[in-house]
Parts: sequence; structure tokens; C-alpha cells
Amino acid sequence: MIPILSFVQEGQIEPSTIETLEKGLADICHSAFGSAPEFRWVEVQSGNGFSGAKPSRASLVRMQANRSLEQEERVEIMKQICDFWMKNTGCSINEIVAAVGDPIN
Amino acid sequence: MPLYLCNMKSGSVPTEAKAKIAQDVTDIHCKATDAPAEFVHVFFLEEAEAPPLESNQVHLQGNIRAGRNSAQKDEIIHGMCSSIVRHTGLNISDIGMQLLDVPASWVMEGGDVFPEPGEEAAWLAAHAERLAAEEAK
Repeated sequence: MIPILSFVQEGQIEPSTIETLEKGLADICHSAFGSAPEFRWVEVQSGNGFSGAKPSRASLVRMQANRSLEQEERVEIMKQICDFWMKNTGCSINEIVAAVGDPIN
Repeated sequence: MPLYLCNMKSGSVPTEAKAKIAQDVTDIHCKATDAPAEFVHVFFLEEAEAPPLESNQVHLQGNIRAGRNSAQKDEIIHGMCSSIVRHTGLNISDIGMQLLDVPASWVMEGGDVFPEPGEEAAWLAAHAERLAAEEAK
């Protein structure tokens, strides 16, 4: 399983969109790692998220790979996450942070 | 990045204190590291699964770029814990804090892979140039 932890701001993403996001992230996950994702969603309540000390509109998606990645491959996966997220949530490029880490030893 | 996650027991951090702590966390991080403020994220969570509260009222976990030295980390931890004490009235012993190093190359923000510590100015210039070029299309 590939852990995928996502932080989203309350009210920013429709519940119905979450299902779409999970499907798309699962596709990315299967394609890159040949493994199923294990999702954890954290909704940051209104008034509890800040970016640059101002109310945040940022979403963060953190995926943990099941093998060490070459940087070129990692960048491609992060780009796929950002592009997919923007397309399906309507957020801007400055509102999505993607992280893809190697396995923890 | 950085991402600061502030997990707290219910009622331990007054609503009006959160913006003040977030401002302090942002200022302290930027002063210690010269990082740009717009990329400092501070999320408050109430009795979340992680980061673990254990016996603390508040636990602040900073996910920061790897490469910061001990003096920078000490400045961050001391400053941020002091801010929480000041704005909540909690005792310092009620507050836990840890910093986790994350390789810059593992994170993409604003569509670009994050720069290594010390390379922010060149990165910001290139980032702004790329965004401007895309907007002009």
C-alpha cells in the first residue's frame, strides 16, 4: 500500500470531488508504483489554516513511495498530482503542494 | 513547505490566539532561515491522530527543509514554544515540539521543485519568471 496523506481546507473541496480525487490519485499511484493507495484525509477547519500568516487556501498531498526514486521520476509524479488536482478542484498552481518521499528506513 | 502542524487538546488554544501564533511561526521561521513567508503553512488540528499529543496540551511539528543547522533549529524551537506560551497562557512543560527534516527535492510548490536552503533567491526569480511567461501565453 502507498500512504497518501492529504490536507484540505474546510469548504474548499466538495465532498463529491473527493471521490474523483481518490480515483485520479489511485491511477497515478498504480501507474508509478504498481500498488494501491491508502488514503488519509485531514480537513483543516475554518480559521485553523494559515499560509504566509494569512487564511490558507492550500492543499497538501503527500505520497510515500515504496522504493527509492530517481529525481526525474519523482518530479514527473509530483507534476501529475499538481495538474490533476488543479483540473479537478479549480485551484491555482500556488494552492497545491505535492510531496513524494522515499520509503522510511 | 515548511508545514507546521499544531495539534492541540480541545480548548487549549483560544481561537483568537491562532492567527497570532501563525504570524509568529511564520516570522520566526523566515528570520531563522531566510525562507519566503508565502510558503510557510501553519495548520491547527484538534486532537488529531498525528502529530501525537502524548501528555502535552499542544504539540507543534515542523516539517522543514533538510539542511538547517542546529542554531537555526534551536532558534525556531525556542521562539515558537515561547510564542505558544505567550498567546495561550500554557506552561512551557505543556508544549511539545519536534522538527522533521524533509529533502527539498521531495516537494513541489507553485509548480516547481523546492530549492535547497540558501538557493531561495534564484529560485524565486526563476519561479516568478516562469509564472509570468505562462500567464502571457
